[in-house]
Amino acid sequence: MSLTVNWANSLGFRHVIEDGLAILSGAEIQPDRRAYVLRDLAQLLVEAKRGSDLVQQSAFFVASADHSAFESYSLLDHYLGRTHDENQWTEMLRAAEVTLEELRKEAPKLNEADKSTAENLLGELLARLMQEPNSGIASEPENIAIGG
Amino acid sequence: MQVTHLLSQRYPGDLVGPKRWLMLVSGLLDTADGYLSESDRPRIAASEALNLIRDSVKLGTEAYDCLAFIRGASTDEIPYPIAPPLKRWFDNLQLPNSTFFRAELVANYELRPIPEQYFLGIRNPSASLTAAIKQVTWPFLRVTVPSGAFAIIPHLAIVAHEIGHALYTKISWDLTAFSAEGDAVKRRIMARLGVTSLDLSTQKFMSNLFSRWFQEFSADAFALYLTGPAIFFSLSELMQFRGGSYTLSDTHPASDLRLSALYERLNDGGEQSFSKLFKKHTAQELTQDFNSHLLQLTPNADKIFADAVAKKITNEHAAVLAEVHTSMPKAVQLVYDHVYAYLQANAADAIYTPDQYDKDLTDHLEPMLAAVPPIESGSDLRRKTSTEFATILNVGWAVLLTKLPDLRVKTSGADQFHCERLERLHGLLLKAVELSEAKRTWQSA
Repeated sequence: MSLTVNWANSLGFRHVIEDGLAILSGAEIQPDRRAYVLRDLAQLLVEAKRGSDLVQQSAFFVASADHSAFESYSLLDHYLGRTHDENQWTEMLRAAEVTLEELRKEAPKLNEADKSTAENLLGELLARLMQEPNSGIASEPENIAIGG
Repeated sequence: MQVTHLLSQRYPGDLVGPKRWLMLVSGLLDTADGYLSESDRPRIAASEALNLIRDSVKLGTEAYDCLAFIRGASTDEIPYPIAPPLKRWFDNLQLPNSTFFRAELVANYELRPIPEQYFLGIRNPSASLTAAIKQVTWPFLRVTVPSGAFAIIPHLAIVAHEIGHALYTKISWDLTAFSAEGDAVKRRIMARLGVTSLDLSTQKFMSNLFSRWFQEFSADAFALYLTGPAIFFSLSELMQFRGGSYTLSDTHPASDLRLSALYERLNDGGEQSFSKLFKKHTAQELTQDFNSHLLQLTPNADKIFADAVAKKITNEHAAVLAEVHTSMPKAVQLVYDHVYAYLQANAADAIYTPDQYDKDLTDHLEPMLAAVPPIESGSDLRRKTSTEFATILNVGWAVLLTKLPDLRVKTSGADQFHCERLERLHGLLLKAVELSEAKRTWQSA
């Protein structure tokens, strides 16, 4: 059996989201760190959006090349999916991704509505991460079994 | 202190994996230490100091989790000679990932890949953490094998199944040939539920379930091509041990379906098939339930559905379990074809062939009964080569399942169930692993 580790529970991921929110609010962040955080979050959102498309197309099988997309989608879905309907969520992912990509440019031109969506999405994700009990690297996923 | 102590220990095969992992732990603790020092800075805002202290506590917890994660990796739990041939298997299959092996007292084999992300993103990481992350070939792999009875050498064929999990994403899967069946599964699920479309939650469950089951078949296929009959015997025993009834879960497909897929391939090749060769050398017929007489067959879809509902599983999930199971045999050939093509293209030498099986049982079965372990092969004294791990596994299984009473070793007297002989067999096979590795090292020096 192959089990994946829930890295979203790590302090590193929480720091990235906190710093992402700080960047969105205009706080000064050291340039290397700022570039790292924006790249990391934008990548997560791009992948999650692709994963969301796969699910909406009701793909029966996830190809190897789409695994990271599906994992990113599953991660965000785990923390946020149950609070939004699928269309609303897809739109949130798009708006947040556009905002973060814009912030990576030297002279970003931000759409205020998109920026606000990005803040809401990251803020909500952070709140849910903080609520979740620390499952740790060694935790086992729940599973269901019949027979046996 | 604890990390320093663990770093000073010896690990199986002196592999670097456990120490690389401990360096990560050390890096987390150094980072936590840095946060505490920072929180003590003069004139720091109280809220900032509090956040730093909280984060240092969180890092301390993560470091502690990581220490628990490596529990069972020392030479106290895993025999020293076992790790090198297992790691060589990984290397030969182009899996250079940092790896450690650990044992746990449960009948379970497991591969746990740890992504780099778990250690990335931390604000102001210590230099030691940054360096430790760079030292690792990601994702880090933890391979769990059982300690105790399931740790006898022949069972380690299941490690090849875990390697299969690690190789899964390297294959470019083309499931075009399965798409019509996929549509048929969805239609049957909808019919069973009395709906005209599947909601998103059911679709997600279906896609996850199919992917997980598909992965298990893929891992089985890798293990078959790497170890031949050994994986069939290992899995049979493990599955039989785990369940008195049929077994089906959202992580694993039905046990009998997996065994029948393996058994079918052991019969490929007519007179030169693994099963015919097994009979030639052991005089025993290889049947599908050869090593799993107690395993119950999975019932039809209606019964699976009813059993699942009786276990309080939702109707939607129960319908998915029942219908995906029904269609799974149609995906199996596809899985085995892809895996074989991948190995042929990337690690053809690692494929364990019926010819090799024939040669292994010819060369080593009788000597093994005289307590001569399979250390090297070849008739020319100057050209003998170290035996491969797959050879040791297969010779071990042939003796264990068909010749154990004939193993000529000293026992204390009454050994009605051949428990002592089994222990002696394990000891001899362990010696084979150790000495064949030593010879390999000596030859390559």
